[in-house]
Parts: sequence; C-alpha cells; structure tokens
Amino acid sequence: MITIELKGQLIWCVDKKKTIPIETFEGNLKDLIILLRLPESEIGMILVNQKKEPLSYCVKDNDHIIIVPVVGGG
Amino acid sequence: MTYGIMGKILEVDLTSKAIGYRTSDITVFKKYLGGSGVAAKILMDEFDLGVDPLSPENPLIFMNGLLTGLPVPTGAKSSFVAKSPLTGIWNESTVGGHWGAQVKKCGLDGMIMTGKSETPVYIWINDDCVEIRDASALMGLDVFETSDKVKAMTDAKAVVACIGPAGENLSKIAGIMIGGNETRAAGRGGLGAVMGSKNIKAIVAKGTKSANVYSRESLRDLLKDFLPILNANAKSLHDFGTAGGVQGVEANGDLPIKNWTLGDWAEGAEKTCGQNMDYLGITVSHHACYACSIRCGKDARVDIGPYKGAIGHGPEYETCAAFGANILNDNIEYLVAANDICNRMGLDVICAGNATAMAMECFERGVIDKVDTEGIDLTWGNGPSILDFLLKLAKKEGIGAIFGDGVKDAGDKLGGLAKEFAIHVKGLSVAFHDPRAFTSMAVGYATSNRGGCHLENLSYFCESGAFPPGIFGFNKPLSKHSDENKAELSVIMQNLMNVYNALGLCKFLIRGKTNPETIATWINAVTGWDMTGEDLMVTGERLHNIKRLYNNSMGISRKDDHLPPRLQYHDRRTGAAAGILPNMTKLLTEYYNIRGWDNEGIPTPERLDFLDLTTI
Repeated sequence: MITIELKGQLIWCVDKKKTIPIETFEGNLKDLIILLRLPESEIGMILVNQKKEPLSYCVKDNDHIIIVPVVGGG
Repeated sequence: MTYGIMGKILEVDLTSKAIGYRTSDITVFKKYLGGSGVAAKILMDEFDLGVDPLSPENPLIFMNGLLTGLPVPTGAKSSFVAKSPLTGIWNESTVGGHWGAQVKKCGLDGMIMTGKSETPVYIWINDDCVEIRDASALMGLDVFETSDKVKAMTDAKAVVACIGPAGENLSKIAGIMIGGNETRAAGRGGLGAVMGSKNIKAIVAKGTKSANVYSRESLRDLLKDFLPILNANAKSLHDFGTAGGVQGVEANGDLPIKNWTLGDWAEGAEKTCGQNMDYLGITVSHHACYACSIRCGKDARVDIGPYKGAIGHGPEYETCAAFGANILNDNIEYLVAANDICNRMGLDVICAGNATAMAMECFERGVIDKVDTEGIDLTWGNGPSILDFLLKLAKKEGIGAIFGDGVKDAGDKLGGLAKEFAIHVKGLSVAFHDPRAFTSMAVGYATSNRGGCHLENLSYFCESGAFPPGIFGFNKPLSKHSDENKAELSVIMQNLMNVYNALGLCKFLIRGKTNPETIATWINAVTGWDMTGEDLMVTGERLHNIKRLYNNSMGISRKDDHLPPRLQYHDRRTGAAAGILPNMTKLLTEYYNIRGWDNEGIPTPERLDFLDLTTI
C-alpha cells in the first residue's frame, strides 16, 4: 500500500481528494503522476517519506508520497 | 524602412493644448528596447526629476514595448511611466489587454503627456487625427461607465484607458484602467492620480496601421514549435486564470494571511481560488490579451453587493489574496464583489487589499474604532464591510481619508503601532507573494525600483519549479531554508524582467520555458537586428541600472533597501515556510557585489561604463 497526499490545486485533478491510497503500484513517480492524470507542468516538488525525490524514483511499498504544486498566481 | 516600431511618439501639452510629434530614435530603441526602458531614457535626459509627482511638471509617459502589437506570443504589454505620487520615486506600471496594440495601430510608439488642463478632458487618437476634447460629461463616472460612454462619443471599436473616481480624487493608489469591464490595470504606484492631476479622464485610441516586420516567415517558423509548449504548460492559467494559483501559493507558504501574520489557510484557499469560481459557475467566460493564446482573463458574475448581477473581469490571484486570505474572508461572493468595486473605482487591488488588511488590524487592536469608520465593522473577514470600506477608499471620505493614499501614508497619519501594520517597501504595498517563503523575493522586493513589486523579480516562479532557472543557465542549488545563491538569482531575474517590460511581453511567457536566446530570435525576425540572448541580458541590466540611477537621484540608497519589519524579523509558526526569515544583510551585500554597486547601493562608475550609462 502507498499513500499519496496532494497539495494545493492538484486536488481538483482527482475530484478534490486530498489523500489517495493505492493498494499496489509498480513503477516510478512519473508513472504515478500519469496514472493519476496530474499535469506534470504543475508539479513543483515530490516528497517521498519527507525526502525530495526525482520523477525517476521507483515507488516502494509503504511509501508516503506528498505532491506539491508549483507556485502560480500573478 | 523601420521594422517593429512605428517611428513616432505623440506629445501632448495639456496646459497649452498643443499636440506634436517626435521621431522615435531607433538607436535609443536598440539600446533600451522600448516600453519603460525608452521612457526611462527620456525622463532622465529631458525632465526635472525633482518635481512634485502631482504637479503639471511631472510628465506621464506611455510607451509601447518593441514587440507590443506584433504577432509575438503575449506581445500585448505596454508601460505607463512617471514619478510616483505614492512613493516619490521611479514608477512604471505595465498593462495588457488591447491598449498598446491599438495605440500602435495609430502609428505611435508612445505618448508624452505634460502640463495640466484647466478643465477635464479626454484625448481622442483616431489614427493620425488627435483631439483634446471636453470630458465634463464623463466626470464622476466609474471605469465601466466611462469606457462605454466615451466609446459612444468616439468609436464603438476604440480601446479606452481611463481613470475612475479614485483617480479623479487623486488617490495615490489609483490606477489607469484599460478596456472597460474587461478590465486590465496599470495599477501600481498611483499613476491614476498623475493622470487625474492633469485633468485627463480618458485616452481613447482607434487605428488602422500595422508595423513592418523584417521577416514574417522567419517569425512564423520560430513560433511553430514554441506555441504548443507554451499552451501546454500554461493550461492551468487558461482554465482558471491566475486565481487558479491560490492553493499552490498557500501550499508553498507563499500566501499572505491575516495581514501577513499567519502561515497556513488551506480550507480558505480552496474556497477562494479560480477552480472554485469555475466549479460554482461564477466564472462565465474567458478572454485574451492581444496576441495571447493562453487566454488567462476570466469574466465573473457578481452575485452580491451594489453591482449584483453585473459581469466583469474576474479576480486575479493578487485580488484573491488581497480580499481572501489576507483579510480572512473565505466568502467568494464578497471577494468577487470587492474585485469588481476596485475595477470600477480604478483602485490598485494590491494597495487597496493591503490597506483593507491594515485597517482591519488597526480595528482589532483598537487603533481605530467604529467612530472612525462611521459604523463600518472592520472585523476580519466581514464581507459587507469590505465593500463599504472600498467605496470610502476610492472617494477618500471618512475612513477612506486615512487609508486612501496607501498604507505608508495611513501609518504616518495614525502613528505608533499602526506603522508596523503597514506592509510596504519604499511606500508601495508589497504584492502577495511572501518573501519568507522564497527568500530570493526578499532581496528582490528590497531592491525593486518601484518598491514592493513582485513582477520586477518573479523569482518565486524559479524557486517553486514553475520556471526552472536551468533554462537560462543558472544551475546552482536553491533551498527554501537557505539564502545561498538567492541574490544572484534575483539579479538575473530582475534583468530578465526588465527585458520583458521593455519588449512588451507578459510574464506568463516564462511558462513556455522561454530563455533569452529564444526571445532574441523573435526580436531579430521582427527587426532584422542580430541580437543575442547575452545582449538582451546586458540590456536588462542597463535598464535596471538606469532606473536605479533615477532613484539614487531621489536619495535612495542602502538605507531604503529593506523589508517591512514584519517580513524581515517575524517568522510564521505554521505552514510550508514556517520558521524561515531572510538574512537581509547577507542578501543585500551579495546583491550589491554582483550588481557592481558600492556598499551603499550606488552603481560604480566602472559598472556604468560597462553598461554605457556614463552620460546619464
């Protein structure tokens, strides 16, 4: 089981869900954001178990993943 | 043949009603690019900088960017420039919409307005014909009414730049508003008051000309691959406007909350963002500035307040922060109504929002009470009171007489504790990106030439990943919890943003991961020049320095390059940027060194020689 926590406006991409548990997942973080249909250009940082990781990071069981959007605004 | 620019600048003396033209000097445009760059050169060379900003002697200059009104992505921006009545120093206020493009169609690169008319007037630029007309029938009208009425008096397809009641009342936080209810604003620095001081209610333009482009074919080829990237990366801006960024800003600890005192407001941000306005059906349609495929403009329905039922330009991010988080109002209907009132009255939302937050803090702490407010209950988040307060602000009546000239002035009037609640740099209210979240913004705000401006730096885009600085070759580490490399980033981004302003490009072009080399190829296709990205960045540095020289001549130096105490010394306890404070001594010292300025923040002769500014 992995847990994904979405921050900021990213919740609107998944019916305003802030936390998404996934029973089983194989792949890296890029695969995960494709699965969740999150726009890559809106993602500023991904933390896995409180550590910043690149998109190439291979997701492991029990990972707690926080996805933080970029700053927009004007 | 001249390419890119139109070749002449309109000169209007409001005192004598004389109308004339000067030839646009191509060598000046090549060195300063256009927009606020060329305006700075004209101001420095030809005018007395020591004048009272609201006197007839203070010229109001409008200047198009080199690429304004051309088929270049986001080439819609132009600049109004004058000495600011709000800060007493350099001010440029850029604006999009269709104003600059329409002025260009009239065959003009810009306008220089001097003197003061005895009676209210509007300037009607109908291609080659320019008239100064009586505006007495327009006085007292709001921005939407003025735009509609003056178009009925001239041409339904004309584009209007005007002031609202705030500008007429010489409020130092009044802007120059463009496009009627599709409002775009040259909001910052009180240039609406400068226009009002000259008795100009509106400037109206309608033209039929177009600029010569050196190679339209090359330009088309260059843009073919670029536009899909820009559109893909800016999809959120298209869908939800800048207001779509509210939650992301909050999630990064970048959102000012309760007059810049708190660190998180996630539930409130969810209620006051562009996505929620779209979800609730408040956003009814999109509109675009000239030559822009992003279409970030949103039209919003007003559901409450004195203008209930109207539709106008919806709240931008800055407005959502101003009348949402920073005053603890999570009622989106009142937020939209507050935005609408600012647009109609011709108020800068950043200054008006900071003034509202300051007034609420003063009310909470007993600095002002209901006697001062004439019954307006300025408790945090009180929706109806926000609307009443803003109307007073525009009229400078009652409590509006205290806050209607901005937070610094209000602090000076109220004295004591109130000064701590006034969040400004050099008199200009700080825009709603917190420098304690991204500390490159701290040194950026402190050294921005017009004061607390986010757009002269924009490095929060870099630090958050929206515009990775590797795109322009900056690959040094950036950490939220360290000031390392932040001064250097700030210098580079200030130089780049000076280029954007002078070219007439919107800052959202950076969502296309646009580097200086790319922009230089567009300039070359338009003009036939042979500029490089490096040339552009040196030009950007030149522009930042000429404006600094203007400010130095006003007495600005290191003593003025600081943040308000709340942002410099008081960290926040919660949120994504909890505990972070910028080390301003370190940041400023590094910044001056990189700039080639002395320890007091004065450009050195050697640096001015390198920038070819020794004759300024």
